[in-house]
Amino acid sequence: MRARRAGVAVIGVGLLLGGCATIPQGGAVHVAHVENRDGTVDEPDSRVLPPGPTEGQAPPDVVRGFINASASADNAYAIARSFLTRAVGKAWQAPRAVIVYDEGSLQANLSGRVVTVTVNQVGRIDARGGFSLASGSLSFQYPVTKDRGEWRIATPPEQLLLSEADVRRSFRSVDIYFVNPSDQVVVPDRVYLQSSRRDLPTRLAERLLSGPSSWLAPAVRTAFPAGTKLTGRVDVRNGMATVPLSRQALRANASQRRAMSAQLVWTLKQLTDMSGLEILAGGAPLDVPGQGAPQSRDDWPSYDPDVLDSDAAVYYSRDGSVRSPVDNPAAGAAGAAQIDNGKVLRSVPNVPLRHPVVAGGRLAALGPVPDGVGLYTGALSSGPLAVVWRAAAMTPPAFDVRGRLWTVVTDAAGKQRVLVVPQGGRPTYVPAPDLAAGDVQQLCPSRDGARVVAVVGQPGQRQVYVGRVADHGGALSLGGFHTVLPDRYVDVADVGWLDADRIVVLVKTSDTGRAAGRFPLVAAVDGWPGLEATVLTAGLPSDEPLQIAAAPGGHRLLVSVGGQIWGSASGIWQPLAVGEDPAYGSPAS
Amino acid sequence: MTLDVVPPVVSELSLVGRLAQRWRSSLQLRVAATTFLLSGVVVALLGLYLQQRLTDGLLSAKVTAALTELDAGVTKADATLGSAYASDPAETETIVDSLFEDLKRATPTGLYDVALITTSSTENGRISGEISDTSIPARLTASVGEGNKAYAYAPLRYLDGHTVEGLIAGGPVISTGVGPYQLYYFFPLDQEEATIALVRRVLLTVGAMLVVLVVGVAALVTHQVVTPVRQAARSAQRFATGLLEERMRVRGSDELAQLATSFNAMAASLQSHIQRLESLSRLQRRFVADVSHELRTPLTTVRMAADMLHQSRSQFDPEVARSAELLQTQLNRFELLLADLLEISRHDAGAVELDTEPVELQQLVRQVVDDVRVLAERRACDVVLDLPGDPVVVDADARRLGRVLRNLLGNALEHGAGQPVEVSLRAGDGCAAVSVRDRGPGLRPGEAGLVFNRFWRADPARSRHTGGTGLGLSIALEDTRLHGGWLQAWGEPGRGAVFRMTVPLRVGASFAASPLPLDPTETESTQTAPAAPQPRDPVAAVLPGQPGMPQ
Repeated sequence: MRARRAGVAVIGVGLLLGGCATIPQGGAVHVAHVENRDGTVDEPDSRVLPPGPTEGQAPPDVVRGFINASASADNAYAIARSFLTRAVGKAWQAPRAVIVYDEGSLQANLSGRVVTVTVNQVGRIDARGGFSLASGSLSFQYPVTKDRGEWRIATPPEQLLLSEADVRRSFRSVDIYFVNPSDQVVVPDRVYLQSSRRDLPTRLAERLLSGPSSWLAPAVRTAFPAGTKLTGRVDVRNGMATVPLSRQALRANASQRRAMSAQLVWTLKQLTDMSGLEILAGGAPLDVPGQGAPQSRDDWPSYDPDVLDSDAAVYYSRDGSVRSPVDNPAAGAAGAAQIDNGKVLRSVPNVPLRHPVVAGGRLAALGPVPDGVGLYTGALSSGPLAVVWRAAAMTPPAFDVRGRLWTVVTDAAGKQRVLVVPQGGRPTYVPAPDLAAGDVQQLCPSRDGARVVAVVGQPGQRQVYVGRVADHGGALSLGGFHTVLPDRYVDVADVGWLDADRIVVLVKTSDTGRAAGRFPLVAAVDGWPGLEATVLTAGLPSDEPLQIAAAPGGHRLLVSVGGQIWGSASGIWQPLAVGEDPAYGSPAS
Repeated sequence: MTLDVVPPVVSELSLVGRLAQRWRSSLQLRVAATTFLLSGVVVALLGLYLQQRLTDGLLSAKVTAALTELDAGVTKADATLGSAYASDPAETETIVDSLFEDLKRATPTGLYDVALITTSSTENGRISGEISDTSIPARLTASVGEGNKAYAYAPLRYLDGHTVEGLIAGGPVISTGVGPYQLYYFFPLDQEEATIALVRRVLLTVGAMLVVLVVGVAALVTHQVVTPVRQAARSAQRFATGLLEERMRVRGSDELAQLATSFNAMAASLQSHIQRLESLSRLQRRFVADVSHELRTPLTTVRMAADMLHQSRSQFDPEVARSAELLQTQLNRFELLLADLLEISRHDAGAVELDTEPVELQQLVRQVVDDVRVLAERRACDVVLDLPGDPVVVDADARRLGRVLRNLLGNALEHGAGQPVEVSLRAGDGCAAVSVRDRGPGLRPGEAGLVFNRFWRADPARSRHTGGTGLGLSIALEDTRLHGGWLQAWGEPGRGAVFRMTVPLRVGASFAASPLPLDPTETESTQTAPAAPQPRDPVAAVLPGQPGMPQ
């Protein structure tokens, strides 16, 4: 009897439990922890499926088809290979260097047994993946022969010819990070790799270990000891990336190891599924002092090349004083009074200050001195502002991450020289041979201090140039200047650094399809046309904007127009203050 | 603890044979095996069905999702390319680019891949991710080319060579002036495969556990039934061996308790009957013993008087002298009968003792033959001896053995009908046998078992002439049994009879077979074949209590 009762109880419990094994219909709210993966580069790519050669194709079409098919790297450029003769195709390796041409400009003409192709060049990608703008017309010869009754190319050229759209489809841009000479921040080196996601972690690490691009090399350092190589693939399993380095990595000292780890974390952080990093040297984990192993993707925030932290503030000048806008100026009439005044931060009696810049609690501004302009510096909050330099004219000053103040001074004779005022040190001239002839209107270093952007030229013909700050054991020099905007953008008024990879420029365009007048343009530091983005000016007053300022991390784009400073958030422009010379700075020291 | 069975003849069995024997002998094993088989089959069928339904369900959900995506994608592509007017190839490419980005953006990383395929020789197709366009099977391309929205299961091939089972759905895109284009969606089914594999594993585990559970339950239930049956069998066995107090334990009031109660009632009834019979038999024997003993006293007196009369018979009239002779003869007979009765009573009472000494059997046989020479001459029967060369020595009571042999030989000569009587002696494995064969009228079927009964006569008409008491063979049997031996008879009408005595070489030792055959007709084939423990002739019966019966 007892056994029977126990059995009934067991069956009852079993039925109850069985009823629970269904889809839940209520219950607690579960908070999910989904990380925000900004700045990842490994989204799935789109590949092109170009058509192969058809029967009876004429030689110009064969060459066109070959150039079109060069965009598809599947199976080692199998489709492009099919446009070559059998013998040549067997041994042909697709070149790494690419010439980027403007799509509509390709012309192919047959004469004899050679097809001549003429294109308008837009840029180049070198064998290591660095992009540079170029222009002009190029022509290439493609000798053709009959191979098994069909026309085929006998000698392909040594560079791959790809249109801009093709490059956009078949390459992906990644940043490889190196350290600036003071080991404070990492500096991005943008390269273009094959867009296939296969082995992307390994290719990133390999590119990092092979050193910076030749353009950036004088301005940065790599913390990896000479001869360090990868001893195997970089595997990312369950979010943990394992980088196996050779024994040379063990020679690095403590600060080098920290920098090595930062370089790897920042470079591999661009992979979506990487959440941790483990570095092996000679098979054993590498000990990075001050950091637990393995590192996580959020480590090394202090190495951020966009040095500005979240308490970046806006500074401007009005009536000779340095001001800051009141908090949250709301749109509408109620805000007009606030916009009008702002908060006065500093002023020097009888010295109207212009072009204020703030960094690390220090303030620098230009003010009149007898016979010219003086550079005033001092602490932002209090204390005297001292004149550290006098000259006939000066470009607006700018700070870099090492607290150095940069400006271009013009002496009484009209000669221009680049001046750098280190923190607590003597101002020195920096040689800049490329700028010798020019008429430099502005020189602005990137926040990481490794590159500079300059506006050079006569009024109405000003252009933007990007150069690097070469550091040879403390001796600085500027060089490597090149244009980064296509020719159709003219009359640059102002420039600023948006983040470590992009600049903002106030330009006009000679494109007839667009409205006249200046507008802000976002462009890539290396001139890559794919990143160009026009900022819409709807809502701004009709006057021409004169100055522009930007900061990374979602801060508003600031434009000075018609005596007011306007800021744009999500495409909507709002007035912030009455004044000029807007700039971002960090008040904390 | 199973019921005992008659062990098979061959003592060594193969594995299959052992298994088959175990199968036959254990109800529990049969029930467990049958349950295992049946439940295994049912569970397997159910599991297969379940898995099939799950697979279908999973795949049909995937197919529905695939076709929905395909519909949405084709609609978008139709809208874009159907009204596209491109002035140059570059513009076409731009339009297709932006369309493809749109289509691709709808796919979060890894869920599926998209391909926009064209057969045009001037335009490029597009494909996303790392999948290779060779994954699209020709049959699907053909079907889509005819204007259908179709799907097919095919392995998805990737650029790095690995393949994953997948579902490909495709449809044609309406486009004017460009193309023609076909849109394909690639859905990897590795998640579904993993789910199905998980389900299969779970089903296998659960099914196996279920089968084991069912078999266990069946074995348990069978055990509950089989145990009382075994108990009943064991009690019956013990009862049969003579433990008449053996009873079964009664638990509860179910059918098994009823069995136990009935068994106990039967055992009690049998016990009281047997006890009554035994006491009756005891009474009877005691009566015979008492009577025989009481008769001795007057017999002695009568004997003495008869002797005196016999001595002086010459002084009487011829009739009186004849009467005196008759009296003497019959008194002799009476004395013999009484002696035999007393002897058999002693056997019945268990009051006999063996007086054993080493006896040389050949010598004993010769002596017995000598003893009956007179009878042999009178009957004109020859006695043929078949004795081995080596001496055969047994531990035995010479007197009793001699009596047995004399009785056998006497019977053979009496019933010999003048034919020679054969006496054989053989030594065997732990035993020795003497057989006496006559070629007289023999025994009728069934009489070989009755011949050892008390006062049984083969032919009632001959009783008065032979002078035998009717107890000779019974005494001979008891004497042989006392030695632990066998006394067996064989006979066929017209072919004579054989009486065989087999005794162990040492008293109390056991032996399995007799060295001499009981059935003489079988000696024609083999002379030395050991006789079976049980006689093969249906005429010759094995009497109860003789070795060879199940103990």
